[in-house]
Amino acid sequence: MAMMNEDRFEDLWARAGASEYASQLAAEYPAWHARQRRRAGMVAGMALLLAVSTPVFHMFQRTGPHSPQQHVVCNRMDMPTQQWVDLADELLMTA
Amino acid sequence: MENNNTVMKRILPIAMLLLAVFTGCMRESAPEGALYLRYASSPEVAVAQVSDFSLNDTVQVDVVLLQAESDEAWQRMKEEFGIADTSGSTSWLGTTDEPARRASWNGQPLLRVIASHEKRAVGLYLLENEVQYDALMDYQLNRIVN
Repeated sequence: MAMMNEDRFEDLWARAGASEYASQLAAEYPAWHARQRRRAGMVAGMALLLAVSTPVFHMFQRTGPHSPQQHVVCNRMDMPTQQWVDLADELLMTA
Repeated sequence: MENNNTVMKRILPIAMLLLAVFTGCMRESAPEGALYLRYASSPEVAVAQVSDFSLNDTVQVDVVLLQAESDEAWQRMKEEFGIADTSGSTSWLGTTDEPARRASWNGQPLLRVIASHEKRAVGLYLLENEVQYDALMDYQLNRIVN
């Protein structure tokens, strides 16, 4: 049995008026359709996992003075961002 | 019905993917604030903005830090912020327009300004509400006690 794909499906569908092609279509279509559904399900599952896990990941990120949630912009490219977070923390200790 | 089902199967993953990407991007975006931009081009001063500096599990503040890279730059900063030539650190509440101007907490957004001679640095902690004001005080107390 030939491997079903989009082109073959269209070809068989176009010729389905003739009985021998209709039987081929009937024979090949269910397995192909099942594969398509499985593939769509996997993509939807992956997207759902990503959509749910991203907010949840951010929700449970570690908080505190060295939390990765903190975002640093600086006018010196060569200075590590953590140094600034540490300085913000240290200044509060000295005051 | 079958058509609607197929459309949903195709649109739903894309919509969810976009949601995930959008959520991720929203967390990362932290534009430079007016305070940072005001000092970013100061000569011989390293300037940084720390967004969402965590004071506890629920309260964060934005901080702008200025660090002098030379004695001359530190001298200019001392003059600009009215920092006395005493050792140690000084701290005051300043207005957001004029950080050097001393102010009292009145419920309006203010800056907790902390200057350290030792580090030749000034920290500007943006306090937009009383919750942040109290959390900063608690943070300082906890850090000193522990």
